[in-house]
Amino acid sequence: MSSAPLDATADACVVGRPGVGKTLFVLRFAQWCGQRRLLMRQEAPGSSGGWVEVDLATAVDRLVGTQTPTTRALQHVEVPWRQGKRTLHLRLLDTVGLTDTIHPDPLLRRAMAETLTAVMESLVVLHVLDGPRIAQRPGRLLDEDDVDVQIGRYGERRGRYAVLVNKLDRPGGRAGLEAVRRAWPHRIVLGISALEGWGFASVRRFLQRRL
Amino acid sequence: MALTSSNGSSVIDRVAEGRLSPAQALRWLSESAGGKGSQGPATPAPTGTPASDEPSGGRDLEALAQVMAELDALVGLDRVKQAVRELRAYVEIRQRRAAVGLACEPLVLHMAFKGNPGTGKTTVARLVGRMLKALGVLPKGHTVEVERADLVGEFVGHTAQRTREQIRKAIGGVLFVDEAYSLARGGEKDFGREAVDALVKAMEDHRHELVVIVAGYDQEMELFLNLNPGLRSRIPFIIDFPDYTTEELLAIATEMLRARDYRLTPEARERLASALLYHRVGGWYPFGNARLVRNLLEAAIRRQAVRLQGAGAYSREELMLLRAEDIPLDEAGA
Repeated sequence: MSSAPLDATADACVVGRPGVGKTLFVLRFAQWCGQRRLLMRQEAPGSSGGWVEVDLATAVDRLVGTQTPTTRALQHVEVPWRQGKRTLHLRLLDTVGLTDTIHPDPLLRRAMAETLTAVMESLVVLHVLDGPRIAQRPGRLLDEDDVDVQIGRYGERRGRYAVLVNKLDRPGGRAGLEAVRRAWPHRIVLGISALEGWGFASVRRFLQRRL
Repeated sequence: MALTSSNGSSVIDRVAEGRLSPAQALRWLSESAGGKGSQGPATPAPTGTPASDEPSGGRDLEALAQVMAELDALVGLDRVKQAVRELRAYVEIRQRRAAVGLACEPLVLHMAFKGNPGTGKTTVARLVGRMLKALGVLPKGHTVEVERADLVGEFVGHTAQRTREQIRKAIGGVLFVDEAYSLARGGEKDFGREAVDALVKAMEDHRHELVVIVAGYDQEMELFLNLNPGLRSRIPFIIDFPDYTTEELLAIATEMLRARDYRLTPEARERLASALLYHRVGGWYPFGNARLVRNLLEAAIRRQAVRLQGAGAYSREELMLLRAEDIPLDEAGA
């Protein structure tokens, strides 16, 4: 189990369905925290991958996409994080989108398995939801077979968990946020727009209290 | 981490095998107490189509070629060079295997360099760091060189703190612990133990972003590796650095002198050879190897300066030439 060491790296795992904006959130949030270039580590399924240095503008172009799943392997972004007098290396783990059903691609399944391991081992879990899509079908938040419902239940049990409802800038985003708050009244639910940078300050406050 | 029987594999394995959806796995995880499944991601190899044939990570072929050329340019060290080339091949093949979804053990690259002082351990450690960066295994590839005094503190608790500080500096590259066995001296109550414990922890926690290289004399290193049971098992690569032969030491001397615009007369070369032999036969301990060569040459350069000033001969040729009488027989310059 992870405990919070005095100095060292702390992992915050960003999970959710494919296409909810996990990668864009990770990159934009790192940028907002003052990172201009970043070291990224892509984990090919089953391996320990390799490190590449990229600048944020290129990273967004290269890594964020509309066809899902864009992210096919785990990625890390490190953000130096001032916490009182010490500097903590916050490692944001960008994961592969989790699905309700068994995926036909064995490599993706493998990557999803690694995502689950990362969720279990991370200090903090940030669960990203797509606001407008929730607004279209809020009933999903009560469906036992829905992956978000299961992530939520697991997160609530483990603690150090927050729900980020993304895409507030789009029509239906706010309605989605309200729906999530109604369905999950006992969880920390924050509204964000990864595209516009809305709500990053509250995410930061949440992390600061948990690290 | 059994990957054999179907009922023995963990929930996570079953997701990878396509027998459980992520949603079902999460439900199972939150229902089981503590939500902690068995450790270790799936290892069975799905026979899927390769995603791409390029190895993962950012490889820098130009930097890699540069490092390998520098390695080859080192005098002697044939076995060491071979070991480094094996290391490179191991990492590259592993990346290719991972790219096509074959099972791969976690990459652990901590090393022990065993050999006398001046046998090239530090030089090779720096090259290894750069090579691992070029291969995309380490993010920075720099080398932080430390010894006992940098790690061990003065009071209880101080040591762990100092050691962690050095580890933090080294993250992303190589932590080179010179004369590592000195952490083991002083027995049970010595703070060196604390440093070793902190090192072992870092070797585990930061294995993706830190390579620890412990170095020292052959026999003492054996003692050191036996000090902490976790140590040997975490150090898969052990490389022996043999002493240089006298010919190799002479080649090193020639190289050092060329870089400084000096030359040896044939007699001086002979005398240098006998000075080196004298040290070897005399069983001086510790035998300095390349460092001894450097010290002898520096003494020779000083003696040449005195000789030239006395003789008042300042031709370009004379300024470059080291004669037999300039070569001291021991490092003190006698």
